[in-house]
Amino acid sequence: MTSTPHYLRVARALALVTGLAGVSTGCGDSHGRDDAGGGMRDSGPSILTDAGPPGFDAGPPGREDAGWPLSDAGAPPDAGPHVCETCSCAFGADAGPLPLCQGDDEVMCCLAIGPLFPPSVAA
Amino acid sequence: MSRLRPALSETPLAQEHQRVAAALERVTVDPSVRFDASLYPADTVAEVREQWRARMIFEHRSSTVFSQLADQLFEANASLDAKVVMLRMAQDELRHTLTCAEVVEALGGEPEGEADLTLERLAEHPGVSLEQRALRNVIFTTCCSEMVACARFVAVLDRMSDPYLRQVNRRLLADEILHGQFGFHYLEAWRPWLEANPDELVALERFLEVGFATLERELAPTGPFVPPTEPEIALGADDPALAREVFYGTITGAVVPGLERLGVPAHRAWHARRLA
Repeated sequence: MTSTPHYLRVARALALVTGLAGVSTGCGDSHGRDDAGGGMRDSGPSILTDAGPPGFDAGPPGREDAGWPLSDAGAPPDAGPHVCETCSCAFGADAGPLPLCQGDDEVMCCLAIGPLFPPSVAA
Repeated sequence: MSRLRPALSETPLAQEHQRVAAALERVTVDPSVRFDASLYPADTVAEVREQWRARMIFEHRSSTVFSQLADQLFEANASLDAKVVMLRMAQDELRHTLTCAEVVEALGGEPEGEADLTLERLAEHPGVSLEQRALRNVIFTTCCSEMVACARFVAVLDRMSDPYLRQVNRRLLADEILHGQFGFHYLEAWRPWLEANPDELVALERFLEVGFATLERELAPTGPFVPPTEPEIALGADDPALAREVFYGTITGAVVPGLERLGVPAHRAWHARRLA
């Protein structure tokens, strides 16, 4: 089973899908610089449990959103109660262990970091 | 085009700005952490510097998204806290402009760039209610666009190693978190209104079909992709292949279920997405 990428665990918590508290499975610890260059462990589809409506996201043919099977709840119950550096910055160091946040490494760019202008759609 | 050089005046306004910025800072900044260009190839440093220059200009422009959206919240009779936080988010983008300029300078460049300062008007969605207009723009800019930005920050932080740039990225992420989450809280507050006005939910879904396609076009780069080098990874350089992966992962794994939880038929809209 592949684990849910760290970026997605954070996004799901922010989107209130998993909630910010009460799922204290801990952060693991190694999202930081020790992971540099560690490659992508999660390039495949993630396994999500509570990710929305049944049948969620098969995606239209040719789209890359295919395959987000729903299942897991994220981190194993024995994950340590650590708050990684990224999450302490995101949610505050006093927030305590964050949900579904165990060690993982992922990559990404962040060229655009402000909001895009929305399209205008008439009634 | 104009020369944009984010700078403070030599008036008391600068001191007030510093007070505001310090009050909003959520990450402890260690001023002793400095960028050491000698650790990396010069061309990689130059490449990353130009990316930060582009971000500087983009952030400056993005501030007007939120400042205009604040006006729309006024007209939608949104709650006072929503208006206050929206104005704060507009201010965040301006502070980020300055932060990006500082990075450009730290990486050996002049903290300025060519920018079109013409104000782009925020979407009006002719014919829709003022409440609907605000909801559409809040969902698009915060739940979607800024949420993808948050996910990108997390992903890049998990991999980059340069101490100076990590510190900068953490400062930005700390604000982006609020920006990405704003819309979900806003929607929660407006859920009773949507439930009482089912036609508005239909109108929202129709917008999301176009909104999702627009986001996909803007935020999911298409190949061919060149794998990043180790120095590029260390410095958190742009990686379009991963941008694409994170976009789809975040939209389908977090944004759509998050909107669905609040009663918005985002799943259907995502699969019906189309450019206008």
